[in-house]
Amino acid sequence: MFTQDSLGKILKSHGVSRRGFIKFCSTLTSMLALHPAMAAKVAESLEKVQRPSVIWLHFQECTGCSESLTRSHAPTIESLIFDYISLDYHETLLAAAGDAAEKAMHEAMQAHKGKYLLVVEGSIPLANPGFSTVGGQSNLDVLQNVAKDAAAVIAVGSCASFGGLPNADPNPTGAVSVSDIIKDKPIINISGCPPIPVVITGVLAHFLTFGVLPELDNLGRPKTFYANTIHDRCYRRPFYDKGLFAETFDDEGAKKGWCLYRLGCKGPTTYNACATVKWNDQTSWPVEAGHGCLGCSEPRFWDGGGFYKALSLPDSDVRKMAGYAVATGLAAGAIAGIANKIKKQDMLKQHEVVSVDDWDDKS
Amino acid sequence: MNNSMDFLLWVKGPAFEIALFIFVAGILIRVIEILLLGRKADLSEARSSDVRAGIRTVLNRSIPESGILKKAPFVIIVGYLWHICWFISFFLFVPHIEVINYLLGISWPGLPNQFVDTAAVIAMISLLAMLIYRFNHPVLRFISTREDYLVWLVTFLPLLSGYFAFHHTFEPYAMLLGLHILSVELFLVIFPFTKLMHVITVLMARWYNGVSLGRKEPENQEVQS
Amino acid sequence: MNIDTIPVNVEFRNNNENIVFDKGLNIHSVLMEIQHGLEILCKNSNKTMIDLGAIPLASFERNQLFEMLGQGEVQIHLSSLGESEIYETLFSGVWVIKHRDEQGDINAMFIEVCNIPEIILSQQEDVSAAVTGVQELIDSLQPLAKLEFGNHQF
Repeated sequence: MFTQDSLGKILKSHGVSRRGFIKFCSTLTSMLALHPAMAAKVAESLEKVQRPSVIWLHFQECTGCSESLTRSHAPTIESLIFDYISLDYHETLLAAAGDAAEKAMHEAMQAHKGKYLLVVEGSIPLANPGFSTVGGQSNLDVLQNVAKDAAAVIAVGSCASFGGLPNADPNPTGAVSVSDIIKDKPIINISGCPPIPVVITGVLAHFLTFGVLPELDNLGRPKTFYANTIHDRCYRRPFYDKGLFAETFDDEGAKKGWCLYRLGCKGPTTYNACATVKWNDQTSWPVEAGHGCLGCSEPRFWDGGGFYKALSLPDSDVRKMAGYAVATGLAAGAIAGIANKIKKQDMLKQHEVVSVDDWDDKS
Repeated sequence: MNNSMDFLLWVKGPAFEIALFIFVAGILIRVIEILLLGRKADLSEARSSDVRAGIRTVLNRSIPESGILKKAPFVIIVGYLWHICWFISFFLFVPHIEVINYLLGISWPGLPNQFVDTAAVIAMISLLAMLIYRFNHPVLRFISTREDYLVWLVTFLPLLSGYFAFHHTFEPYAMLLGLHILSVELFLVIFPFTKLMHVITVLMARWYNGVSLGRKEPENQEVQS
Repeated sequence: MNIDTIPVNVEFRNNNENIVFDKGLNIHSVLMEIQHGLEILCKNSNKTMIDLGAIPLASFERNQLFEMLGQGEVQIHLSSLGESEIYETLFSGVWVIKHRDEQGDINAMFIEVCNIPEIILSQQEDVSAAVTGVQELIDSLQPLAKLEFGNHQF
């Protein structure tokens, strides 16, 4: 089950020529957002490296990330990469079930000790281990067990990266991210709800091409895909700069494709590659479809104060607070005013009538 | 609070509530206190409408007195430049208008970002120029208190952080936006208790002077007040 | 025959005729890079590759760029892991490469400034395989006698 073929061999067995391999490498280079001149290096590396083993764990999640990844049909670049990696354990895609599946995972862990990649989808509940279990084992136990001998951990989706939906206020399960638990392994966060499939495979491809994880930003996300905000790469950006905004989803501005800032677009605070990589085989992406960005690749996007509220707006019940403030202000002002009046009257009482003669006496 | 998004949410949530509370309550306390101090009733007969005289003074004292431009060109030019550019940066930037609309339910058209950006830069330069002027002017330096420098700083910070946030000068953006909002909250908090109160009291003072002078003016004759 | 009698058809379209030049910086910067690549190619035959997927170009801007560059004399069709479209533009030395996967979706687009894109050249590894392949072809040929006697019933 653990073949050690190189990608070159695998492609050849698919009847792919060297020219095809070069095409694959230049496409992959483009996908990894590397300079085209790196294609030769990518090809060289891919021929040398051994097929990595991947164990994919599911915790508190909706499998949307796996769905996103498998939406692309064979034989795209994504599926070629999947042919290349050895996906030894993935609960949703696995043919085996029960003990056989568990056995496959343990075999893979033994055979590739210290070398396999662990992919985690979903957040981990800490409030009660019983909230989410697989085969009677709590998510926390499984994660700690499998992560122990992994080369690196890839947190796929916003749940595994930041806690995601389960972590949304009031977080009933005490959901946390992978990086909250695993501290001694390199962790890469591929956030998004779900992440762009090309980004997931891009990171896997980067790892198997160069043997190391790509450069990460301050939230542990690969810079190649998360270096720019949606806003910076948005094709509607010129309208923002000109001050042209859609006010509702069906007004003239919306029809003309103006900026969606006022309709709550979270593009300025969201780092992701949607604007350039796009979705569904480069068909479109949310803003192009006329809806603002939800900010799904950022931490706590569910608690961000409303998807349709402009980003600059305060996230609190300001009317209530203003009401309290007015009441307090009026009362305190009145008290201060009365206190001043009393003080004034007291001082008036202390006044004594003096004349120039008194002055002379005193000095 | 372990990331910039948490910080932004805190700044937009609890911190904003606190700042808003202090700002609104503070202004009310100050204004009511001033009003309750009272003035002796002016027993003279009003020559014309008090309201007209009041409004007239509020408006025409915004125009520089003739000859003053020659006496103090720096203060007049930079002072006007600063106030106008600050007004543009604050009131005519669409994300700001959106906040005001949310808070007060009133809205107006904004300016294209390049204009606002330019205005913000001019506003910052004029603030810096005024600070340098204050340092170099012996009398001004002598009469300056710590409060004056605090007010300067708290006014400058929102402009600077807003400029950085708009241009995405640093990463991550959520942190920059959070710092910008926080600097505005700082401004709101100290506003009622410092010279920043002049935004409101200047109108009250001019109104009072206008009404008072209006009663002294000869009948049917406009007076330069 | 005089050289002037040969009819010459100049197929160069005035860019300003149909296309409104986008004043945004995107197309402008790509054209500058192409120009720079051509200068390098003239000077020391070094090639330049531009990955259009790495540049913020809206799809309409990308199409506009292709329109402006036009189609030149050479068009190549490559069938390997899906169809790829490779052609020289109106500007000699400027090639457009569009890689499609087997569903026909474009996976990557490049502009290559070179004498010939490398992917068109026969690859050494494939040539080696071809040696074996042709040898197998030769080996598979039936002897003449066998053909005559084997295929025809006398």
